Amino acid sequence: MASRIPSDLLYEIFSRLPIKSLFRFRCVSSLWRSIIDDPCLAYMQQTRCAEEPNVLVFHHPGKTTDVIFSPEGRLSEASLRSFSKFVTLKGYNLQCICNGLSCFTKSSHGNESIVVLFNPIRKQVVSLQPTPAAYPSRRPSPTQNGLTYYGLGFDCSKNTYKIVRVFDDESNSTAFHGEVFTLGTNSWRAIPKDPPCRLFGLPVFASGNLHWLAYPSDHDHVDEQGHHHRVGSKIVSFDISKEEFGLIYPPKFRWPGCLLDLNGNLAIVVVDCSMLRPPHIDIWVLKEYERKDQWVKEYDIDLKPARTCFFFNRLAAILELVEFDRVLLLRCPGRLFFCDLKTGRVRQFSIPKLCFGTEALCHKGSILSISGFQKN
Amino acid sequence: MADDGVNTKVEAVSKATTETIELRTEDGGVFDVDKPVAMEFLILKSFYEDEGRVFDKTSIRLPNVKQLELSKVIEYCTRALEFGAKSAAAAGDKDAERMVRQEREGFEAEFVDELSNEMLKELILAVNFLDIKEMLDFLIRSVANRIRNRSVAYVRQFFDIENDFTPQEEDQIHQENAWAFEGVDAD
Repeated sequence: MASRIPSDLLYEIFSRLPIKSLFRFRCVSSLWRSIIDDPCLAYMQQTRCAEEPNVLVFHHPGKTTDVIFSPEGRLSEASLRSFSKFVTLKGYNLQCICNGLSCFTKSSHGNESIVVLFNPIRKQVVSLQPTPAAYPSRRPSPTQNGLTYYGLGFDCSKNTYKIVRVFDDESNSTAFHGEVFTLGTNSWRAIPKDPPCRLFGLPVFASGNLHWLAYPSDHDHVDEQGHHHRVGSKIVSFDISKEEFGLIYPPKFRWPGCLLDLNGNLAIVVVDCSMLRPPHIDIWVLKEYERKDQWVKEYDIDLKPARTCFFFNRLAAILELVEFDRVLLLRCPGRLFFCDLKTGRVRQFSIPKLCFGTEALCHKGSILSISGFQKN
Repeated sequence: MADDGVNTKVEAVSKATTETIELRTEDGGVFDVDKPVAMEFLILKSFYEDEGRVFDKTSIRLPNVKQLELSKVIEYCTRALEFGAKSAAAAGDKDAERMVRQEREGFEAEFVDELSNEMLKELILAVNFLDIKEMLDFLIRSVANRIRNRSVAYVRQFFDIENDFTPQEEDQIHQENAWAFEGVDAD
């Protein structure tokens, strides 16, 4: 007796399948195709199925962008090549990568008003030019020299993606504002309440919120060797559904932490490279998002061999951490480290072009179909 | 199968003082189930809590569940509770925790190995009806593992699905991602 499995269970099953299987099963039936093409499934699958091969993009500010594929690259060659080509195109500025979508801005007549989204897995490119936001009084203009921070996240309640950007106000140097654009609509919308602090670095999308570290404040920590460390004492969050900024306080560390998306949850990674003890990594995860003080230490790892980790000492202030299945990548000038979270073993790769200020972005494949978002 | 096929009465396997609840399946099976196990079935739990009083041996009819499925569900949930208790007892001792985890994984692997595709599907429907979150998650993961590298034909047969695409439509979808059809397990 063939009782039908209800759709909601099909979503659950599909979210645990790898992308290759999902693409193949699109031709099982029209119902299956519609579920597999549903943005909600793409998001569920991305957070649950941790085995998709990743691509690392190194963005050397003002210079070039390099793309490195994961050592176990099981992704189709065509997708990877198209990614490489696209990412190194002139005039396109890679802003962020979230949930498998790369978000670029393209200059048009001197201002970056065109947003380009790219999903290499689906080989889809969507170019959007939302109209500027309407403001009750004078519209703030972004400073030409300041950084605009972009973030991209999935809104489950609307079953679509939203792009957020935060920029400094040109006429008021202490002010910064946020705007949001819902894919499928036509224009940017002003976010009524400004972010609580300046943002820093790349965003991490987890638990329905975008997160950035707060820009280092004046409260720097000075350690025994006289080195200054940023103390990442605050995290700025943006609720993608309510469209509101908030603040989260992570546990206090001696060392600057770095944000990470660990299976859909917000995590903060702290590397102890003081050489006062064996090199060590702690990873704290916010598992129950409503209880913002409930950070759980998920990993507590000594790194080996200690000799390799000697270079951690010269990490300078910036660490980018991304997750590769269960391997974390750390980088410092000129070198890239793979760290296996299970064993603590560290392997290093020399990448000469890696320099101070290079941003490392990690791309994790998503089955999301974005062609529907293209207007006109 | 680990348990025998059909029992008309399955006695509660535990201490004499444990309260049991009688469950009757739609095909005439009667089971005396330990209350802690039965309370894992959220559909029963809410029924008890709504009523607001303690039940003795009342018989509850489960309209969408057959004997074979229920006996498997009871087997899994009983062991799951045992593992839960062992896990709690081992808390803090990394080696002991690992042992419990491995024991549990071994039991789950054996449990699912014995299930035919048809049985796995029927179990999912039963467990979905009974609202047992942990077991449902386990079964869903098991189905995903069974179908993950299989062909379209296999999957259609597994879920008993009729293809509603025309040959041209199906061909086009195939072309869109031809790479996904390579290296698939033979049927």
